[in-house]
Amino acid sequence: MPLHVITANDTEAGHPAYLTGRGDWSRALAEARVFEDEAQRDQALALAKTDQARVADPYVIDVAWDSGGQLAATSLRERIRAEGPTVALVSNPSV
Amino acid sequence: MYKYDDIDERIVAERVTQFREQVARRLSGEISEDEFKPIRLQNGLYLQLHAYMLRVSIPYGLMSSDQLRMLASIARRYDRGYGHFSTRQNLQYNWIRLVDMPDILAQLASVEMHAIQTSGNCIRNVTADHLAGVARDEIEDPRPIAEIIRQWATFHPEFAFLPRKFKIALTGAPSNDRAAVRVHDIGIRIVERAPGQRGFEIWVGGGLGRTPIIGEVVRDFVPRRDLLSYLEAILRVYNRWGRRDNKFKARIKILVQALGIAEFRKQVDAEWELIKDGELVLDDAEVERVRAHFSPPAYETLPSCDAGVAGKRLSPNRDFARWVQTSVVAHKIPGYVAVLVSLKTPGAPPGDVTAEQMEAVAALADEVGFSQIVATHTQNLVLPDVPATKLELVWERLRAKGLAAPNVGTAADIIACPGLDYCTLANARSIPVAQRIALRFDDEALARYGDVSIKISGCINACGHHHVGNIGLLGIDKSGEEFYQLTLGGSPSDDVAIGKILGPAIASADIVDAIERVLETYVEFRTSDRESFLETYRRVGPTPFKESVYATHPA
Repeated sequence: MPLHVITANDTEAGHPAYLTGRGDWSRALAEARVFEDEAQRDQALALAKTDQARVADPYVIDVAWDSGGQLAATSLRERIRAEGPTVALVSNPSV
Repeated sequence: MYKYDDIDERIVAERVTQFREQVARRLSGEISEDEFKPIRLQNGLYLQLHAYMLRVSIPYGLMSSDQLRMLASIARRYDRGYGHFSTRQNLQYNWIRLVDMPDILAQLASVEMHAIQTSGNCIRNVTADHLAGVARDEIEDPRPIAEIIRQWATFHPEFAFLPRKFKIALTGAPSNDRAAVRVHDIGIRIVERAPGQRGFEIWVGGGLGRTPIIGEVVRDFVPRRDLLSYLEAILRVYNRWGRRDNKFKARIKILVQALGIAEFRKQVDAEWELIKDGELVLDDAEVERVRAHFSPPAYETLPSCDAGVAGKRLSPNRDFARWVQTSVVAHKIPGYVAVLVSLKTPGAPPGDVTAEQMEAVAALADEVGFSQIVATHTQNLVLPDVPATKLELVWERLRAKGLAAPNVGTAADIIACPGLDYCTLANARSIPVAQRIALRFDDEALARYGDVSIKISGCINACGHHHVGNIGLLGIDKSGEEFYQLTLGGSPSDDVAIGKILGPAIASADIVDAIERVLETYVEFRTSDRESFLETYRRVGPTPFKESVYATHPA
């Protein structure tokens, strides 16, 4: 099975959130729990969907370990979501 | 401009209170995201890739300087110091926190603004010609009618849950449509059938998105007294028969195509007959009540400035001269001009503007205008009432804030949706492509290419209006790689046309080269520099462009 992570958006702030091995949510994809087992993944997703006060719309994304040993989302959409816009903000061109 | 009356104030204040309670229930977990989503959308709040996005309504694009300052204040206090003007004359914030939303709405309400009906399947913000009220070529200022439509549409109980969103645009100019009325669900043109006999030509069933369709005239003359009842009849027919089983076929354009314009018109007329003499009759007193809010400001009596402005276009200060060429528009009052403020600084995201820049524009509007600013659907701003004698001052002030790029109407004045950098619907990025294109061409190249529009959408929903760009780009995802489909020949104006796909989609790395080859092919084939890109394309057809682009970038 490909590697999976469960993600959602933080209810209060709207930022991406990733389900960790501790069962809480982190802003960092690097801290996400990686699922290799389909049943465990589905069970965790079902539980995550009950955590409505903290997050909105949990779902599963594909991930892989990159050549540097870092966890990375497979799709461009999820990479941008994890790392932020690829363009500098007009209010802060250095970012 | 329009000032809220007691009813406006009350309904907006009530909405703030209601939403404050709903947000509290969501944050406590009492209601789920599924339950909350339709509520937040009714208040203009989306959940995007990185945060909540708030869309603030700017009716027909018109803002007071105080309103623009409030938008700046909210950007600084609750967002990341900037806002994004959209392609429907609205402003969007990309980094909003749900917990802040009630306070943001309260602050907006304090300056007579809100986010009501900026999302969801309802009648959205009514848009209009950004030169309304000052255009030399208009028959009548369309803003009083736009405001009357806004009031009719706001919280209209019958139309709160339409099959799909619904967009209305108006123009008061007999030609040179700057509001893209032919590609809206309803487009309204003020027309004069005989001297003094004004009414409305109503277009219906236009739209972009997945199925781009040019609207059709459903009635060539609707008297003013009947406008609201006629609009209501159209909406009723749509609400009754518009498809609800498939969101991609739910817009009114699909219904009009399915019924045919003759049958659609027949049904609208039948409905209209039932209601035209009822409570929606628009009497003169009501029109005058609203029109009074749009009385011309206290213009000074000034000599004509046409010759003077023409002279400034030849100023030895080449930067200033070029800016005057691209940014200064004739005004109906002698001695005044309208100034187009470019929000397309090369290298910056199109339509993005910092809080400091907003405040600078607001201050300029106070200093040299009548404290009014207009947002355009092309993601720029307008200072509508500038004495021509103040042009140097305005240019210097704008330049000091990075807002004097001499590129309005050029290949660098690109419309772009937020794309995959922000939007959950997008398949590809729009902003970086727009930035790369804008940085490719220097002022000399832009002058050589002349008036040409480039519009970019990151997905088929077409928020970047790519179908009606002279050059359109549609981002697509090809096995995880960003590609761009190139369309040529589109226009949103009197010569309305949907662009034609030139050939296979082009990889992101090659797309700017392809655009440059399209523009150089135009220069090669035009009869003179007075023949526009669109005219050349229509005369010679796609073949030379296709040969040029695909000889270099085989699919």
